Amino acid sequence: MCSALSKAMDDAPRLALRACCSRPTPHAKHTTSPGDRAKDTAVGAAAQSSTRGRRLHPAGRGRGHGMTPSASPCAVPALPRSCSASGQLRGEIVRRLVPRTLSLALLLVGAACTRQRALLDQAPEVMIYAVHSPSPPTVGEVEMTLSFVDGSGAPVRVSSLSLKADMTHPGMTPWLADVEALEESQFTLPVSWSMAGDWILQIEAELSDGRRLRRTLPTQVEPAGEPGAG
Amino acid sequence: MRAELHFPPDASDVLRWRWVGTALRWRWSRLAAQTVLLLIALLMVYDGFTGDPIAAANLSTILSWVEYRGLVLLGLLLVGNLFCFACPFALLRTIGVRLSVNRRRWPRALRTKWLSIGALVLIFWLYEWVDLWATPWLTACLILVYFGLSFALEALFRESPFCKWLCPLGAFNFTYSTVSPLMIQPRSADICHTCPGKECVRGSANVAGCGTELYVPAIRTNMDCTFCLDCVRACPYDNVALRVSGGPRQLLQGRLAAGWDRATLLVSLGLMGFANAFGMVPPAAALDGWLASIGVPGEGLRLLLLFGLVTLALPAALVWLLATLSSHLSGGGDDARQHAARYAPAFVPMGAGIWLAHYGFHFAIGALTLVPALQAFIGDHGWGLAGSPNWALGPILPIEWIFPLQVVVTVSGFLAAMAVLARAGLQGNREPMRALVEVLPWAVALVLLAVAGLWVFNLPMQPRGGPLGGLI
Repeated sequence: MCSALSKAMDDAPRLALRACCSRPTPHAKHTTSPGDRAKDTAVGAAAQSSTRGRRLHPAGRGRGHGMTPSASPCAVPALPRSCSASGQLRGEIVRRLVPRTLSLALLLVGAACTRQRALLDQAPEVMIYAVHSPSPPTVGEVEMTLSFVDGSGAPVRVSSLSLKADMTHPGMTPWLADVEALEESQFTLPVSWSMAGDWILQIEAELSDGRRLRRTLPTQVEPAGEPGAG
Repeated sequence: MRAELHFPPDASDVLRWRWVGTALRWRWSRLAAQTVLLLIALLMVYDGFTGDPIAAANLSTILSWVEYRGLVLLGLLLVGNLFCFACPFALLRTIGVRLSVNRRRWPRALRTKWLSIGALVLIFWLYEWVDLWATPWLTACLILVYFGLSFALEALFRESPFCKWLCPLGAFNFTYSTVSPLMIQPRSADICHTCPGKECVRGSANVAGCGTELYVPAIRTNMDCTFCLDCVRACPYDNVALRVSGGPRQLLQGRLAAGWDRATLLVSLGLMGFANAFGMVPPAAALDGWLASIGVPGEGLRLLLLFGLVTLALPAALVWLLATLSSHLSGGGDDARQHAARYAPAFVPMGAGIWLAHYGFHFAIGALTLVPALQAFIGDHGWGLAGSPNWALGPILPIEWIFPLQVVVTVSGFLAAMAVLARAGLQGNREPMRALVEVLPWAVALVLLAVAGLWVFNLPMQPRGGPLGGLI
């Protein structure tokens, strides 16, 4: 899949660049305004007279738009910059790009369908309650009690637990904890909140019956010494 | 065919360096770099829509808000406008050019940096309101909007209007590339003066000319230069150099801030640096709460008021006020607009210092979070090549170094700004006393901005917002 993706993406820009290289020739139809054309002609005439007898341009592509040596370097003549493609070229671009773009889109959709993260939660009926002490939690070490219950309120045993708390801003240091072989439905552990603000606590657990679940709990952490009213 | 002209050896010309120069002058060097960034952009869009909705584990948000912002500033300060060189949006834009029928000139009324300023204000407002930084799918949408706008505008208009007049990333990069060391210059200005073809602007038979229509011998600053190096490849005389001769001296070119729009852009970006950092500290939440308590409805409106004031109204008013004051204090002579053009560039190093202190902070403490996110991404697709993610990875510098470094960077930016003010004031053989009086209002404004920046960096960070953004 990787090579197919690379090939598809490599082809598109190459095609675009090749198309871009078809600059207007001296016989090409320019698309400048009448005012621009008049200005071009005037500057071009001056350039022709000043460079007569000493051909400076090696490729001879002057097209009569040069500047006199005494002209200010800041004054660039109005230039015909016709970049519009011919209908045939446009058609070719569309014919070649559309199938490739569609192929790429299909490839991405296919890859998205193979992602496994969505399959992780195998126990949607289980609920997790998190209680902090103090509540709401403040920066520093705080006790957190997690309770696992099913739809009827009965406790659910957990065999392993993995906790990760991220700030909502990417790139911040997360808080991590792994606990093995609990076989309990409620437990208390210390959490170290390094910064105030909005956090997302992710809980990944394996239940005693082997099913796995993943939940996220938004958590708001207050600055140290400022416990909220709750 | 290229003319064989003799030029004396020039060690400051990066294009003559053995390996780097060869790579840069290679015809496809930009395309290769753009292709790499295009693939990364596609990866970000893909992961933004299909990956972990938590920003800290999603490539879209990590690459945008941690890696890109840190690297782009380091690139600007140490090398040049590297992102615009490798801009993936410009790649699809090229296809837009080819599909266009009859492109027009960008309307004269819109040939102004006010559009860029408006786009920057819009982006920063959205960033705060819908929590772009916390929302992978919104970040992915933003990338698609960039692609779409760049494609559409290039298909409709000539002169790369998206890059030059609209793109907020471009406006940021153009502004801070005016302190970058590398700059395009002619190897010999005489050759440019007698060049009949002006291929650097118009392009040659095989290579496009400058997208933003800059003429090499007229370039005095990196403003509006996308670093595409098309001028290098198009010049039939091999007369274009990429010299290590830019740096802050570009800020002394009056043309950099000629016009109220350009002067305001330079000042506005400095204040945006402050506002963007301010949005992440407790007083921002307190201010928002106060506005709510006096009856301003809706977080979006409150943030628009706050950020619109600090990043648009205040800079525009400040430039006018400082320039008028400066003109008045100097006792006439130059008008306010000339004063703005002369002194507004001093906000560039100050702004660069504040941005680097802010984005450098995120990069320093989170650059390596890319590694586990990439491991998780690979693992999600069933490829067991990368092992299990190590989420403890993150900082590249000890956390206790960060604040001292922020102070150093902010103070350095301030001192550089003062140096620019002093040099600009003494230009044209002005008397030192007159120069001192002229620069005084600008110096006071810069002192206040530096103090405000240090105050914000000294506060504990307190990001507010959720992964669903403010929309849901």
